[in-house]
Amino acid sequence: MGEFTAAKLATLPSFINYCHGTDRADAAYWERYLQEHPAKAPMIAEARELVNIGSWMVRGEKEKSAALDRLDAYLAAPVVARSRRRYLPYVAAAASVAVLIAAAIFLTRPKHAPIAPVIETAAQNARKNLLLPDSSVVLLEHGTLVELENDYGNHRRLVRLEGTAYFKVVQDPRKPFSVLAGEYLITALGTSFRVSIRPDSLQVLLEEGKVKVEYVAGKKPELIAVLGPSDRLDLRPGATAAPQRGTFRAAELHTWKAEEIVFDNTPLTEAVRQLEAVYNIRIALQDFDPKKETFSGRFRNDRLTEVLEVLCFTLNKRYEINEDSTEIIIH
Amino acid sequence: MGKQTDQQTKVLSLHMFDERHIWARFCEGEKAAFRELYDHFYTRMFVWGCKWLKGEEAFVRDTLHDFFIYLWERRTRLSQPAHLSAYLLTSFKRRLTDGWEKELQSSGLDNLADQSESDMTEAETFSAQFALVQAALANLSPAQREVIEMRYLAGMSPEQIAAHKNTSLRTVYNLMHRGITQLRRQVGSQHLFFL
Repeated sequence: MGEFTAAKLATLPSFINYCHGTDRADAAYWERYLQEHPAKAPMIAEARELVNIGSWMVRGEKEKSAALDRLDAYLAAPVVARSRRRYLPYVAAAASVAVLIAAAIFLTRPKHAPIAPVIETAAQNARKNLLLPDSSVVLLEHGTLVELENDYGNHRRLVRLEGTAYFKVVQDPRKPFSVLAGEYLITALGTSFRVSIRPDSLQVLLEEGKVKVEYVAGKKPELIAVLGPSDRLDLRPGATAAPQRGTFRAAELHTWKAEEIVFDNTPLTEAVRQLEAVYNIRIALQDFDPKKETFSGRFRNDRLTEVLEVLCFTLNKRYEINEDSTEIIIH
Repeated sequence: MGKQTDQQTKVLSLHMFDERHIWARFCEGEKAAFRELYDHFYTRMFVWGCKWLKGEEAFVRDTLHDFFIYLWERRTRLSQPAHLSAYLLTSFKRRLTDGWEKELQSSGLDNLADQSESDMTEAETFSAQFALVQAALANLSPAQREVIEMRYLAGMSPEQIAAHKNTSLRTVYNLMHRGITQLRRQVGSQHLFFL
């Protein structure tokens, strides 16, 4: 036999016959050979694989033109408009914030709570997501500006907001998290909420936890309201008394959050945090190092499963949702 | 001879195929790029699919079509993978095996949920094998290739081939012999396998 390589073996007519079972004598010969040389089994397997690849390749080549015709037929067919979810009127209102933002710059900055920003982030013509140093997540609506206080996270966490943003705050009782919006200070207690500040109004929607809202333009802060889950507060600028307090439906906030999610080479850890915030779910990553991965993608009003599918497809992973739909495992 | 040069050019151009560029155009929604991508990867992915689902060629063919449509419909959300071919192969395999399980209405099959490390190695090994066979076949003259295909890949006897091609048995043997010699020369020049 001499020294055969698998590739050489795969060109032997008798071996090819053995693979296809087209010649009994050849098949018997190679079966015996295999019994007598068990150490050659891997090479035989490799050679068989090459023969198989050759057969399928020929078949694939022959079928290719028909497959391309089928693809052309698909491409020629009229595109069926996918049903888009209707924007809720509420969301339309949130979108109109972008138009009013320019005027928000004229809001008076309270003298008593100066903020020396270290980071300024503005979402220009698309939504933007931020991961703050303490792992809190911020989703910025178009045209929104957020400033982080110089020593954010030292003994307090203070950000200043112009526009509309959603915050999912990591709990840290020793370092209160506050948003300065115009003349009002919203302080969170381990929570997630959305604040919208415009020249003519301030709106706070609270999803989880508790926040207190204070008027801070005067000599000392005046408490206006303490909000609980699903509470909604609308203030006119300068108001110092608790106005009517309403509630909002979780679905509305959900819709707003999922309206537009953009990842652009976002580190995977960050992308996962953001998805957790948007979809109110825990996501665990198993058996791989997320630090090495980045993710790019755009989603508009997509369901979580759709987003996960694209994410897993890109990462070449799978996901599972646990029984009570509170946690997702990507592995 | 001209044909042979053509085929060599074809093999060369396989390496010249600009994956990143074509993928970017695909993601931008260019139909021509979609067609090109499909054309370029069709055979390799078909073979790869057959490797995992032996004897289910029709299912592999349909799934491959659906898989590319799936990519196309999600093109705006796809990012640039580091290794396009490994990415396509491993994702396709996953879809294929999942789809086949559903087809069988059972989870009797291994669901092959490997880590990506071994997925990658698997895809790379396959790509090397595929390239070897492709190069070996590409260097045959069309007449040699036809006979080799009939004889060894379709399992026809030399007599059947002679009848089919309406030629003498001698011509068939000559073509076969030259074809095999050519194949051997080709695979002998490649040192991909040290088994």
